[in-house]
Amino acid sequence: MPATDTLSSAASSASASPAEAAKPNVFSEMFGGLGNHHVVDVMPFGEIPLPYIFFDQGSLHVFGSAESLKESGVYTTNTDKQFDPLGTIASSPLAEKGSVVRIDHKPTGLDLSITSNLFFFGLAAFMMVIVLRIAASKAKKSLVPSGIRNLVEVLIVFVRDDIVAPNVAEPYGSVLLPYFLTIFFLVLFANLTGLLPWAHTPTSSIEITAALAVCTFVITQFIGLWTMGIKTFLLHLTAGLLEMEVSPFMKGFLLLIMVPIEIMGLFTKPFALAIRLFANMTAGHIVIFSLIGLVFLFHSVFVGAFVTVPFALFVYFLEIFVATLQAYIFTILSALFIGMMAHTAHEEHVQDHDLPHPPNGDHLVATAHG
Amino acid sequence: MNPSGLAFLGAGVGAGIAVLGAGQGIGKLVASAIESQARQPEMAGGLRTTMIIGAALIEGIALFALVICIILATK
Repeated sequence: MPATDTLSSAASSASASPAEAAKPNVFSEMFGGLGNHHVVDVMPFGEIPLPYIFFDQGSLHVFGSAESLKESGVYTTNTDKQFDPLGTIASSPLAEKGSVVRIDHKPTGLDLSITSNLFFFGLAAFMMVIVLRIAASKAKKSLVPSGIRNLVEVLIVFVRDDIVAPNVAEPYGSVLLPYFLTIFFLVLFANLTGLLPWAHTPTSSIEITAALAVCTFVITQFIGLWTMGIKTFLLHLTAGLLEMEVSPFMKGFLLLIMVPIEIMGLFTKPFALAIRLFANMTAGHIVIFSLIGLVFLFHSVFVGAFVTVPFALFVYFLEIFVATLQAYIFTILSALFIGMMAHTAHEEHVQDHDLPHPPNGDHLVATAHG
Repeated sequence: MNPSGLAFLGAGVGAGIAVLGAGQGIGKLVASAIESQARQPEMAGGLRTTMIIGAALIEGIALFALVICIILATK
C-alpha cells in the first residue's frame, strides 16, 4: 500500500478507489500524525524542517533537514517498516516511518535530534517561563494583584494548599513545593500547547511523560532513603513481615512473594503515572481524528457538517478540561507518592525523638509564606 | 480474514470491554461519593479529592487497555 504524505492525498485516493483497501489507510495516516516528526507541519504553507543531530562514533553530525541528511551519504530516512533491522530512532509504535538509518547498516548512535514533540515541549517551557515572569514582575511592582497575576496566583495557592499541604508532611512539603509547582505548570502548559493550531501535544509522547515520571520516581526514592536511612528503607520493602508472629517457614515463604511485589510496586507507580498522562493526551486526539475519519468513511458532506464538526468541537473543549485535570492528577499523584515516603519517615522520626506531631495541612499553610 | 483484520477486531472489542469496566467503576465510585456527600456535606472537599484520585486510577487502567488497543490497531 503506497504511503501518502498528506491527509488530502489520502482522501483523494479513498475517493478514487472506494474499495475497502483505502479505508484503514486514512486512519493509519492520521494516527501517524500523532507520532514524533522531524518537521513541523504548517498545513497550507508547507513544512518547517527541524534539525537532525546525531552523536555517532565520537563526532557530532548536524543536518538542517531530511534533504541535507540524505545528501550527506552517511544516513538515509526509512520509508519502510521492514527495512530497519539494526539502528532506529523510533521508540514509539506510532513513529516508525521516517526513522533514520545509516546507509552501511550500522547503529545510528546517540540521537539528539530536535523532533516536533521536543520542539513543542521547549515552546511550552518557554511560554511557561514568560507567563510566570510577567506575573512575578507584577508582584514586585505592587501588592495588589492584577491581570495575569490573578490567575497564576490562584493556581499557585491551589497547588500549595490543596495538593501539597494535605499530602506531604511539613518539613518536606515546603522544601518540595517548587518541584510540584514546576511540574504542575510544565504539564499544564505542555498539555495546552497541543491544542494550538499546527502544534503537537508534547505530553502525548511516552518519552516525555516517562521523563517527568522519572523525576517523581527519583525524588520519591531519594526522600525515602534520606529520611528513613538505608536500613529502614530496606525493611520497608519487606512490608513489616519481619516483626510478625508467624512461623519461620511461613515467613520465608511470604517474604519470597512480598519482596518482589514491593520492589515492583516502587516502579509501577511512576510507570502508571507516565502511561496515564500519555494515554489521556493521546486519546482525545484519536477521538477527534476518528470523528474526522467518519467523513471519509461515509463519503458525505452532511456527516461532516452535522456529526464531525459538533462532536469534534465538543471533544476539543473536553480536551481543554482534560489538559487541566491531568496536570492536577499528575501533580497530586506525585505528591501522594512522595508524601507516602515522607510520611512513613516522619512517623518513625516522631517515635525516635518524641516530637509533637504537627497538624499536616494547617502547619504548611501557616508557614509557607514565611 | 487475515491476521491484521483480527488485530483490528481485537482492538475494537478490547476497547469496548475496557470502557464497560471503567464505566461501571467510575459510576460506582461517583455514586458512592455523592451519597456520602449528601449524608455528610461537611466532608465534601476531602471526598471530592479522594474521588478524583480514584477516578484517575480507574481511568488509568482503562487507558492501559486503550494503549494496547492502539498498538493493535496500528499494526
